Amino acid sequence: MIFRKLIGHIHDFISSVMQRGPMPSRPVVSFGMKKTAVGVVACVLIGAASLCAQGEQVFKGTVCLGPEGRTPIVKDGQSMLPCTVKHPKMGSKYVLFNSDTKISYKVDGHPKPKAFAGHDVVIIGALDPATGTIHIDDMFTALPQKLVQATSVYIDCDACPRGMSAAWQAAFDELEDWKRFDITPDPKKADVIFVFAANPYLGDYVTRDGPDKRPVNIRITYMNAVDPKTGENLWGDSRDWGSLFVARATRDLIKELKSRLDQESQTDAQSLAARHHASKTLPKTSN
Amino acid sequence: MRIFQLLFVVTAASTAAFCSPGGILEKVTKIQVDPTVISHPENVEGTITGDLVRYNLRAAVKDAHFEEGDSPIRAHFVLDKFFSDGGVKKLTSLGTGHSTKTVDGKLVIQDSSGKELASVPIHVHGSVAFGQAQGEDAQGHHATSDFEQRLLKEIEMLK
Repeated sequence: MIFRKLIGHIHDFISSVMQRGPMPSRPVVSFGMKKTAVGVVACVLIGAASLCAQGEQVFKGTVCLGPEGRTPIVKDGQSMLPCTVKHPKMGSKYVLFNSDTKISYKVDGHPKPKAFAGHDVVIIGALDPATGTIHIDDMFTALPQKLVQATSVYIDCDACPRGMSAAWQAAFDELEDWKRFDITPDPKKADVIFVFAANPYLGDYVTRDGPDKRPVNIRITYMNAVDPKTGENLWGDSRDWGSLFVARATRDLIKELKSRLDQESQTDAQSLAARHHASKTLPKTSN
Repeated sequence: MRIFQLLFVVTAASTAAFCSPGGILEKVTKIQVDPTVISHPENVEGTITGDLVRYNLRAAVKDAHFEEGDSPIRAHFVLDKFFSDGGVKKLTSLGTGHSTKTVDGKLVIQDSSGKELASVPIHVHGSVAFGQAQGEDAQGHHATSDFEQRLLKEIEMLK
């Protein structure tokens, strides 16, 4: 009798837990998800709406110190202004210089233009034609032209033991789906080399004698777009997703590059800004 | 008399061996690698398998010191079967980097008119993408797969 009662109590307890258990957590999770989604949509819409109102454009070029901040130097017998100097004069301003059109614009509204000095950038902003000033809404570093114009790629899984070897297949699958590059088996014929590794790239792809001999602890998946002629790192990022998620990390890194290259080819400020805002606002995929 | 017969056979055999005509790829310097032909799609898993097989063939052509590009001599692979190891094997090899595939098909060499010059049946049970062993001992430049190695061997024999 006591045994039956005990079983009855256990049954009641388990039933109540099963009924009640998930109840409080569900609405909280869905509310959180909804909140994030609403936030993302709002950011995108607000960004797009503000751009519509201001008539913004996309500007590409190099961020340089304004002429007042630089001292002319003589190189090969010709006087020229260097783009950046180590110690700019107090109060000196930065300009955006487009080497194709040879036009310089004053830039205004970015808190840290100095961080971009000497780099090729993409600026989304409104131009004041009277003063030749771009009021910056957003500014980010542009990808090197070698990478933007590349049509063929060689996949190199550099020092890829154990689970790291999954990177090659995942990269091949993702790049085939993307259809932007011809995946060549000959690194000499490739415009760019995608190097996947569990260790950070040291810029020695061309100069290194033999394989990378560093010990491999598979935790972080690194991807670097490397110039096959110079070994220069054109772009790179990593995912700290552990050894079981190398393939997923690889695919995510290629998707990130795809997104960046898509941004580069955008000339429409509204859609570019919307994409850029969205990519910054969206929560990162977890493992 | 028998000794003379034996000598004749040995001489004839060695002459044949040294003076045998070269393979169909003997004087070829450039090969065009065409897309993979999938004969039975129901026996081929994956959506980009044809591209992966073609990549291996391109790599083998390069490793056999042929130039790849527009050429009257064309090569392609006819894929009959392509599948991975079963679920249990997959599970046990999780995180090890081992990935074994079974590939059945034939390597076909054609001339510009589409005339078949060679058709070599190929069956491989091993790696198709670049696997652990290759990654460990070499920079990716020298990486290879079991399937590519087999293709290379067959191409070398056609030289």
